[in-house]
Amino acid sequence: MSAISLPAPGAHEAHGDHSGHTMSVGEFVNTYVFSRDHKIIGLQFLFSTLLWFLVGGLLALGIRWQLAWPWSNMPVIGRMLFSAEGGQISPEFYTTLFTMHATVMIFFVIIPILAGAFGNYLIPLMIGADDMAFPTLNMLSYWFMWPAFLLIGISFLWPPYGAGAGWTSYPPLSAVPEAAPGSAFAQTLWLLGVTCVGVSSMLGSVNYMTTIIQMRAPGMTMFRLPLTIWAMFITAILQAFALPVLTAAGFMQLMDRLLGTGFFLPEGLVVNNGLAASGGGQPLLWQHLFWFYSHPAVYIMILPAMGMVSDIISCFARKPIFGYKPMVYSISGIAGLGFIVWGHHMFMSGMNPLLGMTFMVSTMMIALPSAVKVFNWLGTVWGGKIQFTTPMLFALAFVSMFIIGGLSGIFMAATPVDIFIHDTYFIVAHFHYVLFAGTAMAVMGAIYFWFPKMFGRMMDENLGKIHFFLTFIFLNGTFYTMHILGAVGFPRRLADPYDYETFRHLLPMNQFMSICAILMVASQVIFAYNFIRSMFLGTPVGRNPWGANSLEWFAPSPPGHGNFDKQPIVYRGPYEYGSPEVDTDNYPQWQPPPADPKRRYKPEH
Amino acid sequence: MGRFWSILFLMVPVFGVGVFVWAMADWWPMRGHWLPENINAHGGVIDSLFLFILILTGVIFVITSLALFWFLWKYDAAKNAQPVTFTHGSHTLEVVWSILPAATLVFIAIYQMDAWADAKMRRPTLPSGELKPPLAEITGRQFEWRIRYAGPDGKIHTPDDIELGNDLHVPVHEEIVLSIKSQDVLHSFFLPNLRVKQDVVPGMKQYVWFQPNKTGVYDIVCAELCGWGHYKMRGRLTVEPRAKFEVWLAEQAKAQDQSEYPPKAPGAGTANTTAGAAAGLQGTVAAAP
Amino acid sequence: MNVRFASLALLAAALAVGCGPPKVSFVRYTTVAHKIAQDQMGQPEFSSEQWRDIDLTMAMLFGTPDNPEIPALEGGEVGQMMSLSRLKMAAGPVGSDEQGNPRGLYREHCAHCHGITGDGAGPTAVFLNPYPRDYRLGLFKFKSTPDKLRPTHEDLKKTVLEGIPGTAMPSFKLLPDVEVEALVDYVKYLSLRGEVERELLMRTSQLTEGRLMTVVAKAPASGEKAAGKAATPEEAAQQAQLDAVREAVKDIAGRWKSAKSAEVPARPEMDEQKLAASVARGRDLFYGTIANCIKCHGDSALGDGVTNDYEDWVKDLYDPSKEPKAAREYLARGMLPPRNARPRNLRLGVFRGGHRPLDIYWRLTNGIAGTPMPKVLMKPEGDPNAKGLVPSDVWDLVNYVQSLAYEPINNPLAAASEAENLRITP
Repeated sequence: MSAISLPAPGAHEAHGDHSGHTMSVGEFVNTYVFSRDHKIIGLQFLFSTLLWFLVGGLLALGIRWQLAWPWSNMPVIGRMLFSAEGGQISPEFYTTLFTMHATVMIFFVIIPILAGAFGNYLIPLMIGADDMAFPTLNMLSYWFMWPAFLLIGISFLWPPYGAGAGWTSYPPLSAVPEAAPGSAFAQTLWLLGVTCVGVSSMLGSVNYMTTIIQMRAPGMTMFRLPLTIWAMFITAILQAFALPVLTAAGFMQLMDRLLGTGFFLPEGLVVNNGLAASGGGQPLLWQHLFWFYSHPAVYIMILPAMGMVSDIISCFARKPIFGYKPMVYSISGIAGLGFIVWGHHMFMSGMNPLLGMTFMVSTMMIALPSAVKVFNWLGTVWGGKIQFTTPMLFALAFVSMFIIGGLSGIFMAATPVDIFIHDTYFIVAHFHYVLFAGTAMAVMGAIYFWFPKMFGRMMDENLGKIHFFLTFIFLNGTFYTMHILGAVGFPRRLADPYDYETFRHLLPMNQFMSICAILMVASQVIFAYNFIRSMFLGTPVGRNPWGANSLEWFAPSPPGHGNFDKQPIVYRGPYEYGSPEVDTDNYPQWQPPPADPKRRYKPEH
Repeated sequence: MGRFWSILFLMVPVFGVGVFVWAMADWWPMRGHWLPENINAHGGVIDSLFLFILILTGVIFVITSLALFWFLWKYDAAKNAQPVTFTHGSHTLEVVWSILPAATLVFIAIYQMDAWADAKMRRPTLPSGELKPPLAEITGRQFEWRIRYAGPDGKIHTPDDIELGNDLHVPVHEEIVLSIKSQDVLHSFFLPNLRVKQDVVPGMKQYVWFQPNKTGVYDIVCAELCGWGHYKMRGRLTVEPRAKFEVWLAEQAKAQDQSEYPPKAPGAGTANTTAGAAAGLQGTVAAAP
Repeated sequence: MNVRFASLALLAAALAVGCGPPKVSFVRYTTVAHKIAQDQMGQPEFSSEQWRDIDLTMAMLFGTPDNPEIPALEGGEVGQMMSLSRLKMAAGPVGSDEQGNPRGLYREHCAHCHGITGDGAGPTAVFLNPYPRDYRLGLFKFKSTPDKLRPTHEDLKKTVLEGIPGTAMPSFKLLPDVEVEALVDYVKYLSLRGEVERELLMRTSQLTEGRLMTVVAKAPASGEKAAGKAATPEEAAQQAQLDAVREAVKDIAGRWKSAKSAEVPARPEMDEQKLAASVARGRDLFYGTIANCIKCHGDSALGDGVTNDYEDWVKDLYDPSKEPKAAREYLARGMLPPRNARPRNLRLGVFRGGHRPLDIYWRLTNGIAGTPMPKVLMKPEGDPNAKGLVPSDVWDLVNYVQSLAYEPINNPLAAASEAENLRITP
C-alpha cells in the first residue's frame, strides 16, 4: 500500500458554507460547474441522469400507448408532431420511440448513474481518500456527457425525431442512410453521442481503478473493501476493456455512412433504390463487435447495483454479509465470464451454428455466480434483525426481482428455446426485470440510503414506503405478463402487432400493461417530490443516521472538501454488524478495537 | 409493518406462479395466452425444453422466494428479540450451492445440443444422400416476403419461376426445405407455429427446414427490425395436402403467364408454354450479339 | 401544497395533454394554386377570401376526412364510382363503429405515406424512393387503360392487393376483401377531390368579377321557401355557379367511368426455337428506331439512357429544365424535393406494374402515365405502309424484356456471388 497524503484535516469549509464570502462568477463556475470535487461531480451525474430518466420513461409511455391504443391520438406528442394526421403517430416514429427509449435508459441513465453518480460519490469516501486520483479527469468525464446530451437532444428536433435503427443499430439498416427514416442524420448524431458517452466512461474507469488500488486509507486492505467498491472496481475494469471495441465499431459505422467504406455492407447492396454500396463487408461483423461491448455492458449495469444492495442488506439485517469472499469472487466471475458470452445475442443471426453450442455453455455458466450471490443475500437476511426501512425494501425487492430476471435468462441461454423466444417480449421481460426491477430499484434504494450523506438531511420515510409500494406493484403489473406475451411469440419492435392472427387477441393484456406503466411513471412523482423537498426541508441528521459501518459514515454529512476531518484508520471489514466484541449492533470500520484483549472476538474462519 | 412487507414479498411467488398456471390452463382472461399451436414435427422438442426449463426455474423461484419471505417474517426486528446469528458465511454451503447449480446448468446445456443441431445443422437429405433442394426461395425485402417457386423446369432462378408476394404454400406431412435471403437489410423469417426463426442477411444464403403435420393457415412474421414497415411484413403460410398444393401452384403459374385481355375461359394448353420455353433458353440468349 | 396550486397544476396538465385529438382537415392544394395564381392572375397567391370559398365548396361536395360525402349529381356518376358506406369505413380515425365495422382504414394503412389528402406527402413520404403517389393529378402509373386515361377499379385494386415490387408500396393481399374495396374507393374519392379542387382553382382564377359563391349563403327562413319566393339575382348567380361546378365534377367523374382496359391479344405459343427467334427480333426492335427503347433505358438496358427528366408531378408545376429555381417556391408550399425520373433497369427483373406478359404489354402499349415513358407507336389499322408496330412485334419486345433478367452476363460471378452459410451435414 502506498502512503497517502491528505491535506490538513478541516482545512476546507464544509460544502455550501461560505458565510460572508460572495463568490465571483469564475469562482462559482470553478466550484460548482467545472468542479473537480468528486462529490459535486457525483451530484452532477445524479441530477443529469435523473432528468434523463424522466425522458426515457416518457418515451416508454409512448411505446406503451401505441401498443395499447394503436393508431389513436397520442397525448402531447400527437398534437405536437402529428396534428395533421389527427394525433396518430407515423410508423417511423415508433421505431424512434423504442430506439431512443433504450438509448437514453442505457447510456444516459443506468450506466452514468451507477458509475458516474454513485461511483464518483462513494469511492473516495468508502476507501477513506480525500478525492479521486485524477480530479481533472473526473471533471472531464462528466463534461464529456454534455456533447452526448446535446447531440442526442438535437436529434429529437426534426422528423423522424430521433435515430430509429434500434439501440443495437444493426447494419445495413443503420449504415445506409436511405434504409430508414431514422437512419438519416439522426443516426450519425446517435453514433457521435454514444462515442462521447464511451469516452466519458473510459475516463471514469481509469480514475476508479487507480483510486481504488492506490488511495485506500491505512488498514483498508482489498478484502476489507465494501462490496460496493469491489463492484465499482470490477465494473471499471469491464468498461476499460469493453468500451474501446464499441468505440471502434461506432467509428467503422460512421465511416460506412459518411465515407463510403464497406465494413458492414455487402457488395452492391441497394436499399430503398438508393446508391449501391461499395461493399465487401459483413453485417454480422457489427453484431460481434457491438455485443462484445454490450454484453459486458449489461454487467456494468448490474454489478454496482449488486454491490450497493449487499451493503444495504447487511446494514439493515444488522448482520455481516454472508460469504464476503465468495461474493467478491462471484463479481469477478460474472465479469470474467461476461466477456465470453456475447454470442448469445446472436444465436439467430446467421453466425455459424457451432458457435451456438459454445456460447450456450458459457452463457449457462454465467448463471452460476449470480445464483451464488442470491443465496448469499438470503444467507445474510437469515438470522438477522431486519429493519424495514425504505432502502432495505428496495434492496430486498432487488433480490426478489433479480431472481425472476436471472432465471428467465436461462430460457434464452437454451439455444433451441431461443429459436422461439428471440426478439419476442420474453426477452423484453428479462431485461426489464434485471435492469428496472433490479438495478433501478437498487438505485432508488441507494438514493434513499446515501441521501443523508449527500445532503445532510433524511428523505421522508413514509413517502418513501408509499413510493416503494406503488412502484413495486405497478412494475410487476407492467413487466411480469411480458413473459406470457413472449411465450405466445409476441414480437418486439412492432408498431402494430394486432394485424397478425397469432397476436390479435393480446390487445387487452397490453392495455392492462400500459395502464400499469402509466401508473408506475406517475408514482415517481412522489419520489421526485420527496427528493426535492428533502434536499431543503428534510430532517437534518448527523454523520451516521443508519448506524452503518463503512467509512463514508465517518465523514460529516455532507462531507466538505477533502471529505474527512480526521484521518480514518481501518481496523476491520465493513460488515461487522452484531459483533460480540462491542455492545452496539454496529461496529464501524474506523472504530478501534476494545483495549481489553479478552473482549476481542476470534472469527471461525 | 414488517409483517406487511413480508406478505408483499410472499405475493411475488404466489402471483408469479399463479400467472403462469392461469395462462397455461387457458383460463379467462388469459385464453390463448400460451405457446401457439406447434405443427412442426421438429418443433415439439423446443416446447418440451421450454416446459422443462420452466419447471426447473419455477421450482428454484418458489424455493428462493419462499425462503426470502420466511426469513423476512421470522427475523423482523420488530417481532424478533433474538440476537443476530453472528456468522460470516459457511464454506460448506458455498461449495454445495456452487457445485449443484453448476452441474445442473452444464447438464441443461449439453442436453439441448441435439435439438439445436437438428434445427440448424442437420439439413434434410434425399434418400440418395444428397441434400434436399429447397421447395422455394424466400427473399425478405422492405417490406414484404418475395417467394419464388421453381417452375416446371424444377430449378429456381429460371424464367419459368413462379413469383409471389407474402403467400407461401407448402404440402403437409413432407420435409420442407426453404432457402432464405435478404435483398436489402436484415430481416428474420419467423414462423411461430413451426418454431422456426432465422435472421436473413444480405449477401448470405441460408436454409430453414421443417415438417408441417397439420393443414391450415398460419402467420409469417418478420422478427428483426428492418425499418418503419417492420410491422407490415406479414406473410401467410398455407399448409395443404400435396395434391391441392400442386393444383394451386399450377394455377399460380398460369395466372402469372396471363397474356390475354380479356382472359379467355380456361382450357388453353399449358403444356408447351412460352414461359417453359424461356426456361430452356438461358444459355442461348446470352449468345445474341 | 394548497388547493389552488393543485388545481392550477391540473389545468396546466390538461392543457398540455390537449382536450381530445387534434382536428384533421384536408390540406389545400397550394402548389397548383400558386401556379394557377401566377399564370392566370399574375399574383403569387389566391386571396384568403377566394380560398375560403373554395374550402366551403369542397367541404360541401366532399365532406371532411372524418365524414366523407359523395357529390350529389343528377346522373349519379360519382355514386357509381364509389360507395358511401365503403368510404365511411376508410375515413375517420382508426377504430370501429357501433356495429363493429372497421373505420379509419385509410389512416391505418395509407395516410402516413399518401397523406390525409392523398397528396403523397405524409410523414413517411419524404424518406421513400420513389415517393408515394399524389392522387390529386388523377394519373396512375400501372393500369390497363391507355395514355393518361383513368385506371379501372380493378387496376387500382390490383395495386393495393399486390403492392408495387421494387418500391415501398406493400401488398394488402391479406386484408379482407371488403376492406380492400373500401381503400380503393377512398383512393378514387381523394383523386376526384384533387382534380375538382384544381378545377375550382382554375374557375376562381378566371372569374373576372364576383366570387365563387357556390354555397347557399344561409338557409331561407321557414315560410319564405314555402311561399315559392322567386330567387334573387345573387341566388340565381350562385345556383348557376353551383350547376357549372356540378357539371365539371360530372366531367371529371365521367373520365373514370369511360376509362376502359385496352384489349390485348394472347401471346403466341412458342417452343424453344421460336422463342429464341422472337427474343432476337425483340432485341432488334428494342434497339430500333420505332420503339427506340435504348434512348432512355440505355444501350445495356440498365436504365442509364436519359436520367435528367422528371415525372409529371414536377413538370405540372414548373419546367425544371428552363426554370430550376422555381423549385424553391413550390418546396415552400409543400412539394417534396424533386427527383429525376429514372428509367427502369430492365436487367433486375423487377417489374413494378406486374410481371405477367399482359402487364408488360400494357406498359408498352399504354405508356406509363405521369412519367416520361411513352406508349410505343402502333401501326394504325388498314394502313400497311404506316410506321409502327403490330401486336406480334410487341410480344417480341415483351419476350426480349423478360429474358433480360436471366442473361448470364448480368451476374458473371454467379457461382461465387453469394456466400452460403456453412452447415454441418451428416
